[in-house]
Amino acid sequence: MNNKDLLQAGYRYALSLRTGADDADDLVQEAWYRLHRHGGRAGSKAHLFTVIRNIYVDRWRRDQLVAFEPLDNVDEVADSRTAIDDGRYDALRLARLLDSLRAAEREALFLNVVEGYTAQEISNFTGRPRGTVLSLIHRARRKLRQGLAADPVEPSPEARKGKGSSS
Amino acid sequence: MTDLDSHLREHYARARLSDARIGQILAAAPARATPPRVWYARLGSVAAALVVGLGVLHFHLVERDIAARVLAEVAMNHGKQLDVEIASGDVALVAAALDRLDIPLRPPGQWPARYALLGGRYCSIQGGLAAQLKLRDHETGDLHTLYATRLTSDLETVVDTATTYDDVGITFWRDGDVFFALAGGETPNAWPQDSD
Repeated sequence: MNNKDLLQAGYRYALSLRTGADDADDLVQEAWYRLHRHGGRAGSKAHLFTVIRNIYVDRWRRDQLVAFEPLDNVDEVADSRTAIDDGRYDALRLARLLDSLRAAEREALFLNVVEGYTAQEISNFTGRPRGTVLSLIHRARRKLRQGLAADPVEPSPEARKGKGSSS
Repeated sequence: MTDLDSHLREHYARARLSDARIGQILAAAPARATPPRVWYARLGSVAAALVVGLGVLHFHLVERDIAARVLAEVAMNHGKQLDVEIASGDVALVAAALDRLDIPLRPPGQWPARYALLGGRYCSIQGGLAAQLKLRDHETGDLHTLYATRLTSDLETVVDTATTYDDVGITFWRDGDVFFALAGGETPNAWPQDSD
């Protein structure tokens, strides 16, 4: 993976932690510098993700990333009549719904769906138990599906303030 | 694969840094192509007397490289004009909110009448956590950015710099172990020392 692709991947991962484009941009910039300090190598995507995550935790949301909600109320989303199935999918709505997720949920979902990490790999990467990771992914999916099926989407208070993370 | 998954992938695939932005990030990072070790290896067979001379040259080249990187990063951060995280004209309030930095966020002395504080946010300078305060220059109406971060050995080599980089006036200076930078305007501006 060349530097450009690596930066793009890092930026997308940063957006899963901090949905504001400016903050994600900042995260990638700082992580890139840290990776190259002292003439270091660019490293792998996983290495870049780790640095981005460390900066994020240091700077903003240690409490949110380590926060854990027990697996409760995980009733399977049996409703197949989602907004997507109804043909009412809207990219903007999806973006706003992603803003309303907790950072940990969004991160787990991103790593699973976009990056193709398994639950165990996400567990290894984030230090969360595998069961917690599964719970986060499940809840994130459920919230998105329910949100897409509902009208209209109300952004979270933090999203309204332009900050991506929510507790 | 579900529809939701494919839409999520599309959502993130659309999120991209511009080529220009990637170029800026690459420019602000330390160059990997010419690490000192490579130069030393290539020069291994050169006479010892030449090594001494080249060592001096190398020191100046490295110093110049650091200065270029810091200037590029400060100019880039200023040019982005990011929204402040803490919107306030009260520097004490902004400093209290940006409490991860254990340094003064502004030079000592009275706040200069020339600048109105609009707020602040975190940023990074050469990988270190920094604060950037957004200011409005009453004299010109321009937006300026004041940076503060802990002085490092790298940054120490570029203090007392006043120049223009990418059409942005930039001034570096230090106060104790704090590195300050002021960016804005077409020519470098010094932080007013004697204010009312």
